[in-house]
Amino acid sequence: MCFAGFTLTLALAVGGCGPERRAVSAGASVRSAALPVAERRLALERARPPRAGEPSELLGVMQAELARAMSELQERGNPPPYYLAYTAYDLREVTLSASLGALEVDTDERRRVADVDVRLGDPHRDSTHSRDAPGEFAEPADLPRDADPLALRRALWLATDAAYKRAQANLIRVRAEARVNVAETDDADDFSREAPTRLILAPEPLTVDRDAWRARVRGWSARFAAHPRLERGTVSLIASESERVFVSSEGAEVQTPRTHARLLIQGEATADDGSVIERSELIDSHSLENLQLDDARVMARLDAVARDVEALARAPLGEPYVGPVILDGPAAAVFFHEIFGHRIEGHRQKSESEGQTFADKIGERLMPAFFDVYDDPTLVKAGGVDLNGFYRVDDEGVPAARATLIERGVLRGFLMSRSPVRGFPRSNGHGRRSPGYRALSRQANLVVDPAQVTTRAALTQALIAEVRRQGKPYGLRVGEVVGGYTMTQRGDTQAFKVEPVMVYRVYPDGREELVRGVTLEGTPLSALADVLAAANDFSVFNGYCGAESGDVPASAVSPSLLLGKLEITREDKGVERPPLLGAPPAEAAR
Amino acid sequence: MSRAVPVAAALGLALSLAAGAVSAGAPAKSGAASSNDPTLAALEDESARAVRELRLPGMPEPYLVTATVLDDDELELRASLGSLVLRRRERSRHLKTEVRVGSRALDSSGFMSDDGAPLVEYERVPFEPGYGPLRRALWLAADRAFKSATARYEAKRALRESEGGAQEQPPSRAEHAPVLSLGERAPALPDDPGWVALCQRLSAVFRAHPAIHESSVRLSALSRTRTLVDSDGTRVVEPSALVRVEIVARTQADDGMPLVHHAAFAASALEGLPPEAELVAAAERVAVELDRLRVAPLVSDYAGPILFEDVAAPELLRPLLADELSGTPLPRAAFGGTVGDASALEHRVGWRVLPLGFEVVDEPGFVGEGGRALVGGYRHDDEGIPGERVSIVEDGTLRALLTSLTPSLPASRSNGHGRAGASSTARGLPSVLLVTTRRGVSRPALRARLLAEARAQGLERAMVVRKFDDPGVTGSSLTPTGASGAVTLPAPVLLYEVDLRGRERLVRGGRVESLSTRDLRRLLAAGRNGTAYSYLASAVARRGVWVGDIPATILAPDLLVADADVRRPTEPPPKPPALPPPPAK
Repeated sequence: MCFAGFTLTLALAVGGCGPERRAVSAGASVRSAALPVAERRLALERARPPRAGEPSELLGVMQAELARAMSELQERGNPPPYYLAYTAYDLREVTLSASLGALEVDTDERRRVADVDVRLGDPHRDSTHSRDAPGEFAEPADLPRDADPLALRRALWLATDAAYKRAQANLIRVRAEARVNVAETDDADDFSREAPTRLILAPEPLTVDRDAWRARVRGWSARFAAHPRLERGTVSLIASESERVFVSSEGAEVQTPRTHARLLIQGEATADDGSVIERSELIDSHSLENLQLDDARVMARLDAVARDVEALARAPLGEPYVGPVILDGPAAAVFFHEIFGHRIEGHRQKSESEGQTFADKIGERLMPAFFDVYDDPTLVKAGGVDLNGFYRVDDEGVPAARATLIERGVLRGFLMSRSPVRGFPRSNGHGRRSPGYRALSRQANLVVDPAQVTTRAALTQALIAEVRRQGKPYGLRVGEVVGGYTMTQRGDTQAFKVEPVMVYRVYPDGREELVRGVTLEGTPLSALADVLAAANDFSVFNGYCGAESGDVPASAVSPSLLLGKLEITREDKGVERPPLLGAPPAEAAR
Repeated sequence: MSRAVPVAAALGLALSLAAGAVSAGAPAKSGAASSNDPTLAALEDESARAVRELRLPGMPEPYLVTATVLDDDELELRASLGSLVLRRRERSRHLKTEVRVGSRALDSSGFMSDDGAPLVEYERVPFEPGYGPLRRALWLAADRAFKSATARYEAKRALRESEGGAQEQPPSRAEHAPVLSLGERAPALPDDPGWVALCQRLSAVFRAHPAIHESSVRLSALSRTRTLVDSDGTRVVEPSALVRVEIVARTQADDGMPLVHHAAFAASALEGLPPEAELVAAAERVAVELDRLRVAPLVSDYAGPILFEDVAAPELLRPLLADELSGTPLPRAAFGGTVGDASALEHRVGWRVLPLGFEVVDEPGFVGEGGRALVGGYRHDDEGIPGERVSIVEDGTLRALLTSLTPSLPASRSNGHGRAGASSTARGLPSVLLVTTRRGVSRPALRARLLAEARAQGLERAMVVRKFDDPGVTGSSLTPTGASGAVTLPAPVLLYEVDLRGRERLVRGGRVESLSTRDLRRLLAAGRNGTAYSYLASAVARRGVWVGDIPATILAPDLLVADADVRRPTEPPPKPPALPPPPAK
């Protein structure tokens, strides 16, 4: 099972509505060609050339110890490794969180950790090989925060020793399994050959005026007092800085900084039937400055969260349904991330415990012919919004590159790490992981990019036409999705489950009614085939995605989509009554 | 955490015991926190409203709401080989809420329902002072606690009815008069009273010991204000502090056997750490002794008398005695039985549990060297009850257990030892446990007695344990050893074979097995002076849990056990490092 841990959404319409040119044809199923064509407005920005920096002292120490360890292990190792890599992460995270005008969390944590990758055997079959369960975790080693060579090298030495011993045990297992079991269907190598990367960038230190941010977060959170129906309301700022230093026995030297800032607004209440209603707003960016937060913008977002919670608490429960659905841009972005993005990860095409939904479908039509889908980590912004999935070099030291996945509706490729798949011997720079994990191919910036788009208004009209054609009492519009999961393991139902928060019934007269307590379910191939049309309102979803190689920052970009049918089921709900007493006064009476 | 108490302190202990003095520490400055304090006001107003108004139709009413706020200022530093590895500073406030429905005779407490709902609500709340956010947090916590207490009460009543009423049951809650004690709020931690540099200097000691694979120095400091309010009128505000320094080093012997050594210090005042020279000397001692252990011979299996010297004596008494002194009944479980391990001494009041001449006292207000309270001491326990000096063992006979506000049939009242840690319910646990004997002998006399006993048993050697591993400090895992019924002890760090001429030799790899609480009755002899061992006890009533957050100290003299086993490990050791360490320069 693959869990995609997107937890929160940011909707931002970056397109506008163009003039309608054609009417929707009645009677037959909606065809995109029958819809008015609108101007396609997807403004994507690539990163500017980076600022070169000097190799840090840490990098020098890591190289020295790596060279020594490789040489010692060539002499004493049984067997000697063919590959050794060190990654150090210099991490800092500032968190400020407040509720009702008072700070709840106020931390500034720094940590430096290191991971060691040792490979024994040879690139065709090595100690990392796993027939059915990719993914491996080893607690990263703590490194001293200064550049003292003795302390750093001793920590790296112990981490190397532990990683080498794990690799020895793994290699014995790999070789035994190869002799005991039948041959694997995909005999691709375990490790691709790539030219070593050298990229040394200048650091980007995070500067946080903590006093000023304390005051802002505190002040914003006080606004929740104006929404007494909410049981909880918090505003949090999380600003982080991480410098990654990567060196390998192949000669790679990578030193890249990353900063990130996030404002998180959360509200919660209990509905009368015991359902816990949670709603969040998230603003992500590459720096505190890029957050561009002013009081009016934050208040508007906070009020929207509170209003949504209040409306959801009153909304009727949805019922099981199958029929036409519009996924608004942010929901469509998460939907694609879940149902398609995770299944297109390279390692899932050869792991024999995986469903391998797309392994043999290269060259086959999966979607209407006007759809392109690709993943491009080198994109820095879409529609002016910073993309979480931007990076220059992946976690295996391979330069990031665009991966073409669906071209004109036809499957063309996979997200590739350095673990090759039959027919795809090279990485396209999508080997990603969080500290402690082994890298696997993962999404970065997934872009759903139809060549043909219509206006948002026409898409709604098309939904209504489809409702009438199918004889349904209503269609659905899914405004936002908080996350979901997709089961990719063989033996499981190859299904996805996506959890929407804002779901509206759309009646044939155009009226909308909010409902709650439903989930979207389906299977990937039929869901992709059911996409009928797209609008021109591209949106960005920024989040952190969790899977077998840890949590990685990721984005998805998509316009609103019309699906001919999608199935809705009831979600699990709580049973606890709402609070028995009314909220207490905010001030003491004495 | 261990610290040898100098003779003066040991004498002080003897004097205080001889005089039967009840020392309660310095009196709190009453009125330091007043009822205008927004924290107190928020807790008072909402706990009063909750007990008055929370109702579910046809269900029992709440009769007691207890809210505890823990205001913490914490610092954690870690250094290795002279370099800082971690610095974490955090202020936090946690709210702990308990609602009891029914009556003192039978209420919703002491029962774990099928759904595993917690017995207390525990959550993080805004740490900045203010009435509104705290009262609101208590409103929601009391609501949840009331609902789960109601369900628990009904399930508990149903279980009782299914059992029939033949057996007498203690009431659910002891009576007590409301307690009013408003102490001062704890100060914020100083920004850095040289602690970073201290950690760096202590950890740098290991730079000169390249055969030690891994070493770290951890300093943690906690300044806490506990505010307890209940709907019956108890109001307690009490500050506390805990500073700890833990020096841990690890290596492997040439045959691969993992070896660990540590030194730990704890103080109940921010400025209470020993002087730096003493800490550096301790780090040096850890390094030198671990270097010696690396090349020490492997222990041979042994059965016979063992002398527990220095800190090994109180370390031994932690699992054998201190962890068995709770007089609080274990919670019942919906699926049958109880939650946790019953105390080995639960039904032994009036029985002899130690040799004649032994006295055991627990004294939360015990004042040690320099008039300073020991780690584990307090004025009021975690239920707000004044900590009493309890005479547990008199002349070898168990006279009392440590009790909380949850009565047992023999003990109907709390003696102020209800200790809860951060997120649990309270149970009777030690604070400062003082073990002494009238018949203590000098160390040379103890050694002579050890050798005489070995001779009498036909042995050519005897064993001395001078220090155990402390899993709470080193993180070592504790695999059970020995016969069933015996307590699993951590591995000794400093274990010596002593020949019949008294020459001792450091050995490695032994585990002390086959000892249980019953063996304390047959102690052969004890020393005169006490050594202190401070640790963090767990609120969980389970044997073998060595990590917790309830500070306690045991002071005990050297102890000579007549008969126990020492066995070498049966599992093969891991491999030594695959490559040599990096060069020192």
